[in-house]
Amino acid sequence: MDSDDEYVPNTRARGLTNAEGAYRWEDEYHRSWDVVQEDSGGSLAPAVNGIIDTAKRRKIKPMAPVHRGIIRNLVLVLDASLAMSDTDMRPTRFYSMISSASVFVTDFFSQNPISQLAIVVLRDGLAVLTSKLDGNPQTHLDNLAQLRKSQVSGQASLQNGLELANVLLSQTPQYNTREVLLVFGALMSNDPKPISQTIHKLVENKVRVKIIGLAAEVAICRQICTQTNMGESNSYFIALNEQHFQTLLSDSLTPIPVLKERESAAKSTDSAEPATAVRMGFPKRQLHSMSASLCACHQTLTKQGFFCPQCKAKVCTLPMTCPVCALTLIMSTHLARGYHHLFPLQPFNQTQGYKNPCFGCSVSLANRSQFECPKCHNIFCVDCDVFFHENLHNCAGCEVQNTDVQV
Amino acid sequence: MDSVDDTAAQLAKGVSYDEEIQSDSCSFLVVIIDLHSNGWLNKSQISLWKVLESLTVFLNAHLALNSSNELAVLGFNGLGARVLYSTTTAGKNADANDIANGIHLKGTMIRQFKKFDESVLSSIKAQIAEAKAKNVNGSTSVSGPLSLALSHLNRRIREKSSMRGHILIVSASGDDMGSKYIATMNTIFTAQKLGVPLDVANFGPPKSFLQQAAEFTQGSYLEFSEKDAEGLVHYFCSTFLVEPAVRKYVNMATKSNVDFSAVCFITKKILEIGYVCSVCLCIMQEIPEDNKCAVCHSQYE
Repeated sequence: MDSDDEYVPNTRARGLTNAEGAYRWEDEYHRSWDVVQEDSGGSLAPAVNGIIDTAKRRKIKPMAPVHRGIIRNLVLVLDASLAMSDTDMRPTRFYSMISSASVFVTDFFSQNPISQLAIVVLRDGLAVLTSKLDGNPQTHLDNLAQLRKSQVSGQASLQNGLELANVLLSQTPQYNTREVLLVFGALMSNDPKPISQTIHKLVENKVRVKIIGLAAEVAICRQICTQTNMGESNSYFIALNEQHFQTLLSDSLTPIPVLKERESAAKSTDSAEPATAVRMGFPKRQLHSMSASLCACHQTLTKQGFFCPQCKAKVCTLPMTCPVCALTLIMSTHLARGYHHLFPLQPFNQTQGYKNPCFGCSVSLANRSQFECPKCHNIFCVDCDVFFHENLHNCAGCEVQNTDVQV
Repeated sequence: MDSVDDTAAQLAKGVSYDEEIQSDSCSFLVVIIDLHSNGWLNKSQISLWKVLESLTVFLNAHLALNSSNELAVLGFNGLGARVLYSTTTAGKNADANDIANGIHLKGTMIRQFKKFDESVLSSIKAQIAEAKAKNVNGSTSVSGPLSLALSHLNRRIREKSSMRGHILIVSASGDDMGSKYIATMNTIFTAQKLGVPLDVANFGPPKSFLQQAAEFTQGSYLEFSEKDAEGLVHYFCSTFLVEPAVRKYVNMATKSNVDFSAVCFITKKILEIGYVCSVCLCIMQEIPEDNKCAVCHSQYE
């Protein structure tokens, strides 16, 4: 047996400790109302506005332009064991998880249009493939709706779930990412064999596992996450409540950075893991043709569709792999949806003392927090700042000014 | 007419009663006017002033439709984009300034409309004159004014839950994208997410990206040639005036055959089958001879 197989107890669990490494319950008691200070006029408004603004901006994270795996393959493993019938999330953990997962699937495909997803369910000690690895969000949503009607039962098996995910992911091409996102409500796992063997397989196959626990921290989950992420321990989380759970899920929408070792290997030698140019088709849409014809994907009569440029087969929706010639069919706009991950907007710096209204929405900035774009030096309000970084991914100031003017 | 009756009957019966259509729902219209001087010089197209005549009638109609409707007018040319008029800031000016500003009412003219017309037209003239004085010939992408328009809409929609937004782009110049492909696509996706339809009134050569923008956001894309000059008001009011909330009940005039073709990043040719870099997602017609991505310089297998 090798040393990795032994269970190494984590004496000071992350997430429970503060900056000094002490447990939260060993901390001094903080009175949250002491933080709010009155200004010279005795008003609380500036302090309260400050707190609100900080909360709004919490989601904006500095995004260094790193090499990210844009084409993703993700297996969503959902726990449907008896532990999921707990009612700490309303109505039960299971229903809450299915609702959040449906939102996640929709968002996942809008942000990662050429990626693929599969759904695996853990119940009765088995791992059941509920939704095949596929790029069409609607089939996954339908399958999730079906799953909603089923009951939770038995124990969960981490090993069976991960083994199945590993098999699914091992068929995918090398240039794609291989990810597992596991929602685990149980505190125990019913495994047929030592799970360490499975972890080795996952590491070998370069599968990266992220686990969101719904109950309490489980040591083996942390071990799985750490080992499959090259020792980085930032992929195991415990959801505190429904909202926190949704936040944790939505964190997985952004493509993960390619791991350092892989990246440096790719740079140093071209044998390691070079990029690939993938052959793809950009089909034309045919609208309202005179006669209906069968589509190659569902074998139904339709009057409109997209024609594969290689084999002229008709498909109903994009993106899709052509059912006849296996060419990946997409729209150029699907690719464009992924670009903002590659060219992220720089975070704005907080400033003060400007009299002009917000450059974006013309709201008055008096007594409000102000943010400056490091590139165009225009001043924005907190709402525009959040809007630019979370939705638009453009800075209005840079777009308006940065022109190719020939004077 | 039958379809209109059907819809009315449906609404009356409450079969598809929509909460969006309420008496207090109002809309915020942002008009983006292309003021590139070279865009309007072509003899075979409608002149800018002719368009503005119809446009002001349309904008007055928008304001008259509902007292809580709001409006912003943005202009863009080689110098960049700017807000020419906005009801949120303009409403505060007292009427007493009117006489000082030289605004005189004729006949049965309504003061607000006259005031609005004057201020929009004078700021449009000012922006054109400025570009002329500085001798600016370059062009800017529509992504700038669109980003600005969306941040205005984002604020108003957030502040007032009954507010619905829509955007009208009055476009003329030849190049609709410039070098800002990613930024423009970002604005289109954001409009889609906010539920803001992008309408396009195109007076210049056909533009595939604006067409895609309208298609994605359920807006209408209309091209106008010289023969439409007399009926512009009718086009504007029957298509672009329709509020976002009622659009699903109306057969909108639009050009439906949208071209989603991809363009090679290197040769700029339109492709049907191409190669996509797995690292940076750039589209290429052929794999370059040195086996390296032209954009991100990744080495290929």
